[in-house]
Amino acid sequence: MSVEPATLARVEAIFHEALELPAQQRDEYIDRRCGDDRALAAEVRSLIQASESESALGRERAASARATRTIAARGRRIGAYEIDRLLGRGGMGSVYLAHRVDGEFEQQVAIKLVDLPMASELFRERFRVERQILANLTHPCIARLLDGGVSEGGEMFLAMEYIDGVNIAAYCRAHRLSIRERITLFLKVCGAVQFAHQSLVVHRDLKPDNILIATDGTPRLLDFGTAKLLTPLSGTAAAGFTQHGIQAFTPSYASPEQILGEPISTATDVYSLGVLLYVLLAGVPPYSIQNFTTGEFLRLVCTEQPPPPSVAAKRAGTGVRLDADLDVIVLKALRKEPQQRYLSVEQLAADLLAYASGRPVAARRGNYRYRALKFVRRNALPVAIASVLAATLVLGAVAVFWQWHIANQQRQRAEARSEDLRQLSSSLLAEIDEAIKELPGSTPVQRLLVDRVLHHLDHLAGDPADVATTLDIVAGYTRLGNLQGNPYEQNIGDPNGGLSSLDRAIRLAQQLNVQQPKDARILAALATAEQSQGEVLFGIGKTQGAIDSMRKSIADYDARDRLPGTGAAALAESASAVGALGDLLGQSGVSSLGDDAGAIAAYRKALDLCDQALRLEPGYVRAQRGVAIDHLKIGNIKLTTDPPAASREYALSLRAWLALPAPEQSTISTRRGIAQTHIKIAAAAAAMDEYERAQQELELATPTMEYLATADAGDSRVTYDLASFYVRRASTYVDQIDAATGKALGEARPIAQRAIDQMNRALPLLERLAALQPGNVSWAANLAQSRVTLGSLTTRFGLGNGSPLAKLGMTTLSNIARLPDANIDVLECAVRAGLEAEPPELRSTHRTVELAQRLADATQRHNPEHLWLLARALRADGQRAPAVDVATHALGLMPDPAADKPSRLRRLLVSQTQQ
Amino acid sequence: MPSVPGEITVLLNQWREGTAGAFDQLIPLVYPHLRELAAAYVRRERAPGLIQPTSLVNELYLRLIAQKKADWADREHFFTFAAKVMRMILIDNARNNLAQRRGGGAEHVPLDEDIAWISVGSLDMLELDQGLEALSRIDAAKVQLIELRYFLGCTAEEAAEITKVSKATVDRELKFARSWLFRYMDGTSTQSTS
Repeated sequence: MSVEPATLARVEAIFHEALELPAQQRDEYIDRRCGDDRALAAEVRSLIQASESESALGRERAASARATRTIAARGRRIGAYEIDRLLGRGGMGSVYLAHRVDGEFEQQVAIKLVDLPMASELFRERFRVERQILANLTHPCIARLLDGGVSEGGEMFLAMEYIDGVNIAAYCRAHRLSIRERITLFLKVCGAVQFAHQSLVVHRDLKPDNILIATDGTPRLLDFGTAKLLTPLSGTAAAGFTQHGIQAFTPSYASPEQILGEPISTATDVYSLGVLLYVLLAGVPPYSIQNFTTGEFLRLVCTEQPPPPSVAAKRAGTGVRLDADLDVIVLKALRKEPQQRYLSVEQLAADLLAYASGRPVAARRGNYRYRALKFVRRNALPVAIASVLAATLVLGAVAVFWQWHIANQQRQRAEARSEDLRQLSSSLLAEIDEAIKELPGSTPVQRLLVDRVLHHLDHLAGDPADVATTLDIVAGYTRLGNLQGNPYEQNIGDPNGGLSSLDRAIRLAQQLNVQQPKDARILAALATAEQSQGEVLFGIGKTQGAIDSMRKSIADYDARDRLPGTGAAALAESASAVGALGDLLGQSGVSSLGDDAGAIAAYRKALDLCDQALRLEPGYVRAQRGVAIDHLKIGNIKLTTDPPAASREYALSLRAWLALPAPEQSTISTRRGIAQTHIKIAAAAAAMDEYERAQQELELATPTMEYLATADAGDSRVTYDLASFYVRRASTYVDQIDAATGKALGEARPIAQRAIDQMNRALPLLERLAALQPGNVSWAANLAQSRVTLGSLTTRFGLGNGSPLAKLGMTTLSNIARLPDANIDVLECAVRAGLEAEPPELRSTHRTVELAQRLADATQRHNPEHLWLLARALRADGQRAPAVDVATHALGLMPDPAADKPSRLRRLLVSQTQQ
Repeated sequence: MPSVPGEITVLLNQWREGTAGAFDQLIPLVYPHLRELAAAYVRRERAPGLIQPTSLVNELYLRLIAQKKADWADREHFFTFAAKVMRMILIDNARNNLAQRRGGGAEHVPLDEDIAWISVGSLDMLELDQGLEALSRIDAAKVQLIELRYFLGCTAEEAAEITKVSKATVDRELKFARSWLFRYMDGTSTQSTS
């Protein structure tokens, strides 16, 4: 029953390829792809057969279920109506055709059953009131709301006049109406909308589906005001659940203000009518939703001008010619800013009428000035609304949470200020920064939002405020600064803007600090802002400034921690700040400063803080984790230069992990931490030539690594981690063989076979990843290097012909390493492959030297391991003297050897210094 | 999904750190979506006896609360988790449903239009669960997609966003997984690979 993942991947690939082909060609194709592997071919065939039966049965069952539903619904009573059949299903519920059964009179109606959760009493009350208003809306072109209420089953329902008609767009197409006829029809729609507006009812969801043309050719508008009716009211915030309502709209026809969550007015309907007119004239919508995600689409609606209908019609090849006056009329209705559109539907209709009768069109005036005005210069939006925008864009949600701060606007400003603004800065800014970060590649929108938030904060900061509010503003500036330019977080690439926001945060916090030097909250806020400043400075290469800021930050944390009553949580927070300084100084990342001593000192200090926290509160999980992580990081710094010392740190780390309380031990992050620590212990052991122990430690980590990859299989990173893990196990075996020089091939072979087994596990995973993200060069490089490793091992130990596989890997690597921006991963893979490739004719010693030089330069010639690779490459190329120089330089970077056990790298380097 | 991701992430973190009230704030953010999809399983036209949408969602929350210790890295994690919980609920529901009215001619209500041959509240669900277990041993990623797509009711686009792969990949993986499961449940497995 069990299938190896590798086999499954092959089966799957052939399965999809075969399904692409016409049915009669599949058999032959499967045979060709599977070769002699009959079992594989049978497997693919049986799955293809299953696929066909599955889709057939699925279609059949889906159809029968739809039929059953319709039948089941028939005869059901809702209020005074009995259901005849299902008409359609929408976002908020289903619509049924029904007829009245209380004997008063025979009437066909459309019943909308509303699926709303937990409607509060207040909502029901409003539902009743608004329903009354809508019921009074009588116009020949508006389908009347006849009734509504709550059914016996507790669902809310609306009964509307049933219109038997065709949607307006389909009608125009079917009857091949001329432009003039279309305009005439559209004007009737305008008349109905205008009538409703005079009764203070906004439609909010005008679209062809809601405008039916009855058999007598008159348009009838459906669902007037229902969208609003179905929006829960703000006043029930106390109920908790209704803090947010759901605003329903149709993306293709929604106005920017609907998407942004701004107040809805009659101008919203003007916009939707503009979209409708566009569709009726050009034959295509102003924005095509086809090629975009909903999020991108909504962003487009809010930021981009659509092409003029005449252009769109030409592009779509509809053969319709529209003149410039129609373009300006439609585009004026479609403007982003409500106040820039026609002020009323009546004006839109008047302009169209003027066009139809050949008079000058009002929209022509002031058009140029309009174009010069950017959307950006609109009145500043409240932060809350900006965050809704961000959220909408991120998720592409069709229903948007409606922040009730909009309702708050209508309250007294004074009242709003003290309460709401505090809320704004504390919770909404947290949100907006999360939301903006996740905005996919939309820098102009991000900048727009940042400008808004900044403006808002500046405004707040200008007024005198109490300490709590000022602290919120400080927090706001800090978050914003990070968002603008903190390289450690997703940012919009404006570090200078970020520094200026952080400056303001720091200045405000310092003022508070002068007044109240012993306030822990103020000190913490100041320290946080300074830490962020350090990170931003580091990102733009101002290293010394960065370190200064970090040290100030730590000093402020210190001051805070010295205050009486400092709790374990505060100490743990300080510890993480100090740890961050450590990362900045020397964690073996790509961009650290390489100040190993400074980094270790910082981690030691962080450890000390964690210890203090643990003394205050024994077993405090965050501090306990801090101990484990800080020891691990110290170990990482020492690993290449001093493996015995690293080994000791890792042992302490492991002890700390295992001291966590039992429930914590089973969390994913802890299990990952423990496995990582075992892997590091193995690395240290291997560096000391203790291969048996290294393999034991790796064995200990194996179940967790495999578990993590299955538990979170959608996460490509864990798959990558598992693949790297197998590669590491394989390379540890190879190192073991290499270390035992002089042993016969026969003795090495079983170990080589184990290495090959591990590589065979890694390769399918890496293949899958590379296929998943073709643009990820690091993954591609890893896959290629693994191919070289596997192929070369096979060849070298006479276990088969690995040459084609190795050659494939070498070709890939040579292609991606050639790119000028090849990263450290790519270079290291290419160099290692270039050194180890078998058979030897795959190697180009000259080229490997060149790559090794680039690699060593990329890590500022500070990384002894990379320097060792360079020395080997030079030697292989016959450049002995330079190889000796490089190895000598690398040795100088390493501390004096522990007397008993020089590390493996040291020994390797020493051997490279020999002529 | 109608939700505010930043807020959810923030609240999840706060909740994890034990901030009072964070969970209460979380509920309204995710509730409408969850309830909507619960309602999709349990359409009102259906014969009585099946679980009701509100109780379904309430149950989900009860289980989420029980899992308070869970370490959610981010909202993606939350949704995959929610999907898993939803699967448990629906499977348990099917089990109870079968225990209560054994053999009764249950109405066919598809788990999803896309996998309409599986009927909610039926024996299919228990077999599907076994099939998913088996599939998870060879390709857990596909099972996760099935949970998101068919149990949590995500669209293919949403599932793609959550699992960080393309929509095309989601469609392909699901097609394969459906075929695999169909064969598994059909009992005509001819697998010969060991």
